[in-house]
Amino acid sequence: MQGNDAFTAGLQKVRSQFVSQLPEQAAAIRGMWSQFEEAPHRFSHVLLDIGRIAHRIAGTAATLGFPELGQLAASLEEAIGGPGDLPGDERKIRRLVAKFVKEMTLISDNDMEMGQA
Amino acid sequence: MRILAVDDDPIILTLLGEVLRAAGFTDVVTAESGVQALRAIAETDTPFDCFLFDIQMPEMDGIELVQEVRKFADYGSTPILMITAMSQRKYIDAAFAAGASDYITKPFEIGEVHARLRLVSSLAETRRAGGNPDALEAVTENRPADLVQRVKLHDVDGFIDYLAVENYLLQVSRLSLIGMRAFGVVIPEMKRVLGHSTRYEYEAAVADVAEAISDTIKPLPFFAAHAGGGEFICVLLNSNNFDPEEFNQRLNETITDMDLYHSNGAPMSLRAVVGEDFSLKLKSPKGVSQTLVQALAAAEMAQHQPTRREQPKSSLLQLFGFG
Repeated sequence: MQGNDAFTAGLQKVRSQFVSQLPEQAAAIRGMWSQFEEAPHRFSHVLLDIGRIAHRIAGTAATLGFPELGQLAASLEEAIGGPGDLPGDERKIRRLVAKFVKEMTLISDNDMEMGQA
Repeated sequence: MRILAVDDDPIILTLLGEVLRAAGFTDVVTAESGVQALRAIAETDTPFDCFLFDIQMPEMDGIELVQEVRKFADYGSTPILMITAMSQRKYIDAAFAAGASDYITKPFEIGEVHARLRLVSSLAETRRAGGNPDALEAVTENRPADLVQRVKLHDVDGFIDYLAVENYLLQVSRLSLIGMRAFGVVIPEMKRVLGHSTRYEYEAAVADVAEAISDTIKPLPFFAAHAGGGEFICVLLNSNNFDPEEFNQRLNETITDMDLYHSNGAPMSLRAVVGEDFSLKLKSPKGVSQTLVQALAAAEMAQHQPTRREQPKSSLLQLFGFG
């Protein structure tokens, strides 16, 4: 039982660390997307940076209890693809970026509210 | 069990640390890049029993890292588990071809990681009990051959460990097994020819046959493994029109052309028998393992059956003068 408690506490610590990074990552994605929208052909490479953030989140979110965020991250990563796929389906990527950032913000806001309660 | 976990995402490394600790694995070293990992391997006094590698990492990716680790004499057969978000078939194929032993996709189920690691841990225990086979190789090559032992054939194109073949198919079965076929190859005289050989001679003969199988299958994409004794399992990754009998003939021609000899200079006569091939399409994970066993059994059976060319012609055909 003690082992389980320690594991739950350990997971909670990782979960908090993950959630605490979300606002910064959401802001970074917003900034990169604005840059891309200004000049899509000049800044198509920033999509790969967004894809890298999505890739990391896709790998951990579901295990830490955020399956929807994980699913959105995986869809966004897939829509962006690799360097050979740029700039890809811009409208689809735009929709996914908006949903992804919204979900990140929602999770971090909820977490903050629960911390204050 | 001493584990080295490598991932460029610190969150994953912390998460893995917790997951491993919960399963009782407390001796865990972490690295955030392939270069850091290779340094840790080179500098450690206590060898690692297991590696966990991510694939997508900057500079050196996880597949290159597997290739580098396999170059270390002590880590030729140490289990390497890929823990990665790269679920596409091309990454799975590349990882196993490089020498990975197993593959877990992120986001992972904690229970799944525990189950796979328990299996690895029992293998590591066995290795420790019998000594590290990679380290012992040089001093035991003159002992008598154990003809049941599976030989590691990482130097032969397409050959991986038998367990890695099972793990590969298990992973790919989640995507699609369409176009994949399995067949067995047996060398019926292996016991008679190599019964009194040294371990070195036995392994060399197995490697020669593996080389012949590999050369004959190419350029078709495949994975194959030594299943112990004179048995080999082959999995064609994308083939719908494989003819076992034609392959049987070409394989034996390749073996004959290799002109094999015993250590004492006497010619070594080996003949291969290729069994019926089985489609892996629509197989369940359990069904995949059973099909491999079935393919080996079919090759065993085939050695007692005449080939199409040797079969007596139908008396009806002979009657009409076609015999």
